[in-house]
Amino acid sequence: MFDSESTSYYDILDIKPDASPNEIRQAYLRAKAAYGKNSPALYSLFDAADTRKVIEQLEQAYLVLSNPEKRKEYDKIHGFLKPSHLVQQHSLNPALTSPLSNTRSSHASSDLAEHAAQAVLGTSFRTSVDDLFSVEPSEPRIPDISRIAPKAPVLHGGSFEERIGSIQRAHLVRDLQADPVFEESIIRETAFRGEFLRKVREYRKVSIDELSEFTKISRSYINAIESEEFKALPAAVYVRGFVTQIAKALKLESEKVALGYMSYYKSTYKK
Amino acid sequence: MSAPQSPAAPSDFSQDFQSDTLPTRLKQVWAVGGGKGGVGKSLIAANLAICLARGGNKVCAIDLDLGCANLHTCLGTEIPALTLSDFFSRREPDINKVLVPTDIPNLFLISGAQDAVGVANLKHTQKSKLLQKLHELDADYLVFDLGAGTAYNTLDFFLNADVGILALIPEPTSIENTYRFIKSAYYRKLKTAESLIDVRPLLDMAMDQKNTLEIRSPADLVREVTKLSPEMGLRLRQEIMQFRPRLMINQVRTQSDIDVGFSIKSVCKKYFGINLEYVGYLDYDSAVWQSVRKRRPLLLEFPTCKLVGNFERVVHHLLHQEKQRSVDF
Repeated sequence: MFDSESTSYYDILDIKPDASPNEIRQAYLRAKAAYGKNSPALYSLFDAADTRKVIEQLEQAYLVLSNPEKRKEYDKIHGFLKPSHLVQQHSLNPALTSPLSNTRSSHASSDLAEHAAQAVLGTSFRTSVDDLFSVEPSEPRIPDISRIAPKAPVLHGGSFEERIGSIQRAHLVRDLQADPVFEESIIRETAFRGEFLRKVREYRKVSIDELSEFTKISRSYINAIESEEFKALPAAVYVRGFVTQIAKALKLESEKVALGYMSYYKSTYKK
Repeated sequence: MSAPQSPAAPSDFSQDFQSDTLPTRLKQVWAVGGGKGGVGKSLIAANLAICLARGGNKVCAIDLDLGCANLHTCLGTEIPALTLSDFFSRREPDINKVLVPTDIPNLFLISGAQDAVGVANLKHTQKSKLLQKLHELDADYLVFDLGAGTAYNTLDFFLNADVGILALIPEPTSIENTYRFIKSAYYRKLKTAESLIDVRPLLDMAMDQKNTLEIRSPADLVREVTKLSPEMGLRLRQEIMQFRPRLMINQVRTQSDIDVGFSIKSVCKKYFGINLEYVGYLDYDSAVWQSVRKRRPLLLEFPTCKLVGNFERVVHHLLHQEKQRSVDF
């Protein structure tokens, strides 16, 4: 069913070859949701075997396209020309915040990589549905729409596509255990290696599946983070974002965790 | 998706769109369909028409759910003296006499009420004549309320429109029926396309789900046709590209209900190879059933409900899209 000879990674994610890292991530999340195990959109069209194939393709495509160097290599081989205004990804400072970070409530896809890409590229989200939905809040009188209104300022939630990420389940960890010894060790911890993260996750009685569903980070990445298989992970800026999300989900101090994890990452892993 | 005889261009947004000097005003046709019954097609058609009319456009809302007419109720009009059945029976051959005003200025209705038994089984010639007469109406927009299901008449009304909107609710039954509708409309379009005469035998075969060539999806079909003849494959792809249905999700209660639209869009692209555009959603709101029971138009009866914003956004999106497209011509 899938024309694998002529399908590029960009086709698989349904994005243009000049897509920004943010667009790539959004497309990946969307695709994962569409072909996930319980996706209602699959009913009557795709069976389990087909979906497995699709997911494999998606993961493979994202693994390459989310990594700036791998992407460049891929683009070169497959003849995708990049416009010159695309900025170098590896000089991004993950700690950069953008104006948008204030308006968005924290949710799974508002990771640091996104903000960093935003701040550097200065572009908004995908233009296909973009600010067309940013009309004034509804009033009793219906405004005159016979003339096309100029783009209204983006209000809470902003564009239609932005809003999809905005409402997530609030809490993953239901009852915070009271094992005082372990709680104490969490407070005292500074290194936050992968093994420790796994311990905390198990202590909080959260499975990898649940964590994956909540944070939208794939199971293989969560595994790789916990077992410190850095090669299997995308660029550092994304890893930091993932670790932050995982920490938040597990009710840890995300800044502390990210700092600890990433310092080990940087000291041992040179791409 | 425009009519083969006379492509309906989008209406001009300059000030003179109200001009009465043109014998046949350039108009745009929106059709609201989708496989499953009870998902809100009549509601959507009625209120999209209201939004367009309030924008200053002259709008005719037309009930093409033959044998199951509900549009008059959603628009809050009394059952008219003259309706479509009078037109079909030739009691009233002038379609303009069958138009009735509504409580909304600039909005007129052709109702399907007082229908003759058997009107759902419209003959091909009657359907063609009806479409021709409708296109001659003096209006900026025609909004078709289609029936449920995938009968040829319904598909043809949908394909005849400039903007075809599929309504669904985020439930497996509705989703499955939407895919059925897309598949049926898709094949109906291909089978009636002049440029694809040579491929019809293959299309016939492909339409049987369990055919010998293992064509399970339209994407497979394109592959098989391209094998036979790259030129035919190209023509097939071009026809397919013209099929751009829009999607609206009704009765949304959660974020994942909203997100399903993007998933469906993605799945459509992969399975059918068509570009489904997700144009908006409607929140679940008790205002809807309340307005229906009162037999009053939703947007008039509950002007502060969430759906007002929902509808505005959809219309804004659709108008903006069409304007962009017309600029390209």
